[in-house]
Amino acid sequence: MVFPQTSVPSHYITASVYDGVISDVMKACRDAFIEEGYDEASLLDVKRLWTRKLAETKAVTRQPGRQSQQQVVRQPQQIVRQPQQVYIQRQVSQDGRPIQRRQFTSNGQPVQYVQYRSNQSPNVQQSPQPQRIYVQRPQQVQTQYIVQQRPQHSQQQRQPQQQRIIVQNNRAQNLSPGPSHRASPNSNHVHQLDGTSDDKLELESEVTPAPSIEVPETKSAPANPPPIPTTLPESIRSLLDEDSEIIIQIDGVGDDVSSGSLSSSSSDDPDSDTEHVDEPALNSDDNCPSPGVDETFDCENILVCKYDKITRNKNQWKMQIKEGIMNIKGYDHVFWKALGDTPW
Amino acid sequence: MNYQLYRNTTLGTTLIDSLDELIQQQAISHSLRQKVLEEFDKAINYALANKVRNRITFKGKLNTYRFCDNVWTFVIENAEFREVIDCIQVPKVKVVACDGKGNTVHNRQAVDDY
Repeated sequence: MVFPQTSVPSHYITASVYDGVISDVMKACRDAFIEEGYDEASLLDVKRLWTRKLAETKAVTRQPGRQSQQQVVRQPQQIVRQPQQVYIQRQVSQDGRPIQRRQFTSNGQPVQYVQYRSNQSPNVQQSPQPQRIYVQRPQQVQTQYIVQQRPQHSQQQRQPQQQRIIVQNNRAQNLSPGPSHRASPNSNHVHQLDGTSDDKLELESEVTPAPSIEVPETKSAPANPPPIPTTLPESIRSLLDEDSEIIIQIDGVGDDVSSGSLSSSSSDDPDSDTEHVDEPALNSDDNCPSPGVDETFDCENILVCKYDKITRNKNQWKMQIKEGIMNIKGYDHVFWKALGDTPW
Repeated sequence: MNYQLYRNTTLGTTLIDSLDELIQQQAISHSLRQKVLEEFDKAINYALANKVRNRITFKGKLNTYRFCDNVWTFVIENAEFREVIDCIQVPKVKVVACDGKGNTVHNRQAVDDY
């Protein structure tokens, strides 16, 4: 028997489906219990325990006004019928004062006029729409989630800006060793330097050689070949003669393209690599611990179903699933067919 | 085609708990427990195929997908389920789907994976 339940919400359908399943299982197992030598009391115990545990989970929402398990799911537009009650209707005059109709009998005694209003009671509000118990907890969670994101987002926005300030400052120091600058008393304060020159800053400081590789100030080509750096290993040094021309490649800011050969006094500056020490080592972030499989698939909300077709187009996944039961926020919902569209 | 997939739903777990409780009390036997669960599989598969006719749509961001033993497992973030009137949003949901046309041997393993 097929029930056309297209207009009833799924959480109301769930209760009727579950009731049907329970009764079908009890009917099917009755013979098995008798064959095994158990009486119907054991079967009723199974049913009693099952329904009690199901009620305790509170995963099933039942329609208001419905208590029997075998009834067909009705349309929600029907008014819930209550026992007829009798009360006196009072009419209000134009002045706002209540007017009560009165009639008098032949004896002169007043007869109170009573008006019946059937199918209604003061406690029931006639509403064409069904009551929906819909918990909006996710919105609260979502708002909290959104609110928490804002300060993080603003912090994230601030961090790159700060980083930019620091980088610019470093670059300015490396590029302009000429003018004299003196470190300010507040050495921890980061001055923002935008552009190539900042006239507002008037700092006087001694010339301090940049930590990077020194650029030779002589503009003419060196007459004598550069000496062999002592930092080179002996195996390589032995291959080199003092008369041979050494071309040492310097990458980075201190690279003087105009001169044909470059020289570096790495022996004079043992701190030439301090600039690279601050940078993270290559491939250091390749072994970032990824979330475990259990954590990824651990979820409170679960949907169990069968699939008809699962397709993918580039990163767009489309799912055609059917005959499913989903537990969303503690409530069970059943569906016949579902269509999903999710990008990956 | 009776999947044991639905034994891990609310209805299935409550039935299993009830049967285990009665076995502890020695009110029923293990074979009877198996028989009841098999009947449950039949009843729930039949009910979902024939007693329900509502359709829903859903969308979200697919975080993870897995296909093993003819069972798809998805983890969808910021999922939104829509019916005719209702709409439910959840931050994360796991979808376990067995083959709608396959046999029961592969889908029994879905119970263990799930």
